[in-house]
Amino acid sequence: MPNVTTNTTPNTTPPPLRRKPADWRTVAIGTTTVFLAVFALLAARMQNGLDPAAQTAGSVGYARSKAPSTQYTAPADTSYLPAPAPVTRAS
Amino acid sequence: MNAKPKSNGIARAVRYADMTHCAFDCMGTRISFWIDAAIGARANIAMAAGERLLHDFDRRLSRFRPDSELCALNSDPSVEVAVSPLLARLVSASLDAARQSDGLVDPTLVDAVEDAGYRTSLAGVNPASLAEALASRPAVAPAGPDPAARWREIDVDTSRLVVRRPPGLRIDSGGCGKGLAADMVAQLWRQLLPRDTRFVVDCGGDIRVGDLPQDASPYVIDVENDQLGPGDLTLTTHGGGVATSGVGNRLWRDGDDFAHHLIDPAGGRPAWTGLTTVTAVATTALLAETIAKTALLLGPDGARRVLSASGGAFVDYAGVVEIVAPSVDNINRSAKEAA
Repeated sequence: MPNVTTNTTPNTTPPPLRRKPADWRTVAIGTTTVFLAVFALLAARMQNGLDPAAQTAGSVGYARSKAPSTQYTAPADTSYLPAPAPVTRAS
Repeated sequence: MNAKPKSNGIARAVRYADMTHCAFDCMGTRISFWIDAAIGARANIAMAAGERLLHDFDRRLSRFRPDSELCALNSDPSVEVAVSPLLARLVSASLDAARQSDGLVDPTLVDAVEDAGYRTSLAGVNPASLAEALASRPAVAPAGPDPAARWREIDVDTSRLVVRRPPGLRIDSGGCGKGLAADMVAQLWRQLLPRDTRFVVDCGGDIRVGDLPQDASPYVIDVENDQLGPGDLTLTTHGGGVATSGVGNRLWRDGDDFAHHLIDPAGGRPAWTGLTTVTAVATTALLAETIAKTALLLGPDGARRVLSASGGAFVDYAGVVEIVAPSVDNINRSAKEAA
């Protein structure tokens, strides 16, 4: 009878950890997202010319500009303003 | 063509500290709504319902829309024509205005208005210069009713929903469509909003406000006139309607002369009576509009008499404001004379 040996010991050694190569699409999306976020922040600061430290509650849209810009229009936050009076006119 | 409303009004609502506001174009003019902001989202729902009502009103009752119910009535060869409840209401309101004004606010002047040059909607069209029109020194005289009084040939049965008139006799709102529309929106809102809710319906300057208790702060309404500055003339009221009639906003050149949409029924031509605008207050916007137009057509002397019942003001060709004291308690007015 042939001498048959069977190795019943399971191989418990995990395979070495190997970083899966990043998918190029994931890299592209991530890079673009970060770029857009940084760009949006910079653009907002450049447009407003605001010093974030100078902003206080209730000053939205009306904070003093460090670099006054004639192109900047304050956001239409009217929730704390009285409504304009109705006007009767010929039509 | 049946124009669908482009939006339902909710998206354009603007929240102020005291009122929610919404504005849109309809009926050839600018419509504005105000509702007390304290009632929250119900204001948006009411505004959307009001906007739908006005677009439906315009689509069905405009004389500038060939497929409107009004145009169908005017072209119908029958003596007796079945009409919708809405059209019956407009015809009835127009005849009421004719009776109240002794025929000055005449709903049968379509031919004269078109002959004067008002054949299509003037929405978005810049009017001619009022200053130039007045400088041309048109002959001034009070208007009078049409001796033929053809509006008396019209009969409307609002229960059977039938209009009887000689075929070919065309009917127009006679200038009271916007006042009626403002009153209809107010009527709708009284069903949708809590009692005593503060609101304003402005249909191109014809205004209806929600009735308020006497101890509430009144509505403040500015009067616009090309000869006055902003805030020169202001009305305050606790309820009812306010309307202004004038020659400046529907004014155009007619050869070497000028023409406008307020026709003297007696002569069939634009009326030059010495007044540029008249503002009237009344219990409804429809009545205020009727009084304002009647007063303007009568000129200064008639305007004093017509406005004395519920109060108002008029501006003459020199830009001088005259306030006519009201005989009711809930209307107070303040004004500054034009410079």
